[in-house]
Amino acid sequence: MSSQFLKKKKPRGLMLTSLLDMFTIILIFLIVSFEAEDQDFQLDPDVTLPDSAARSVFTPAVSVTVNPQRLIVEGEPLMELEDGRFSADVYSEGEIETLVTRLEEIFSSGNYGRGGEEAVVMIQADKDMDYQTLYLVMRSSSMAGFSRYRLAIMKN
Amino acid sequence: MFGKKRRFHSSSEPDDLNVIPVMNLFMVLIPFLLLGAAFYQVGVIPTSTATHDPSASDIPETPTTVAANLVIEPDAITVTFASTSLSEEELAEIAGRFPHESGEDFNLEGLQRHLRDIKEKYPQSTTMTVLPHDGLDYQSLVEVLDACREYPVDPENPEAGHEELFPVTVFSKLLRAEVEVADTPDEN
Repeated sequence: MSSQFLKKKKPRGLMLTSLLDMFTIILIFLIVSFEAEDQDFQLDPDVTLPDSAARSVFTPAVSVTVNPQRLIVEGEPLMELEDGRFSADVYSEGEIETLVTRLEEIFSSGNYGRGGEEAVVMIQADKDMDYQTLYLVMRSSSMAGFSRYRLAIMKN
Repeated sequence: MFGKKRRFHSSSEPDDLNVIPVMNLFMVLIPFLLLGAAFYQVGVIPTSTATHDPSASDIPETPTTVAANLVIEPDAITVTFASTSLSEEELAEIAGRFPHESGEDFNLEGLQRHLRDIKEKYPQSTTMTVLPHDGLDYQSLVEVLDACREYPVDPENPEAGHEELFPVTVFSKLLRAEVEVADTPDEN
């Protein structure tokens, strides 16, 4: 008699409701954190950005990265550093010649200045970098025509 | 006839909703969104460096505006102001010096309080020239900038928003001969 009852029962389907709930939550979270705009920003793995409460919106610019090992412009390594410092003669010269030359090339190849794009450099520097090195990078950028900077920070 | 129908309906179980196509859609959407998700928030601090223009002055020409100069020394932060409408005595009065609180910690609260007072008196002031010493690390510099650029309206409630202090930051290099501001009184 009991076997008769069993035959009538349909095999139970897999319970997917809770899995669907979980996926819905993940989907909502991902949609919220989705960056619709392609900002083409590559955070250098050797750089630890400083934490900041600044709320200015990230906008792309010519990328200059200074990590403890090297100076990188637009993803292209330009110069070696030792423990986050350039060689002493660079500081005494007051400018980084290779950086000035490279940025001048970028400046002349782009449409910067009057009526064109704003000449801005986006600086990714390690949080332990000293101001002397940072200022040298800014000063060299300024010599090449980029006198405005965006200091990349990690929002806290 | 109706009786038969009712009997037929009551004996059949309601079908489960087929969620497998929805699951398939989710399985496609989630990897796509994972690729574009930002798990860290990168922001920027807009700044510039001083440019030499012999015909121009850094002193603002409007009488209701002052330009701040922030000298960050290894043991203290000194803030001075420049204006066309204020006398040297008045400018000396609104200047301030903030020695480190303990060890190497900046007195950022005192500095921010002082800048808020100045901002209340001269609300149109926005520009601050920052002159750090060579050895100052980038993280400490950013902390000082955070304190000087804006302040939270209600520190207990982050959603209350922020008020601007001196958001236009200009970096310059400290030359020892320029530091004649040590006479300004200490503030705590």
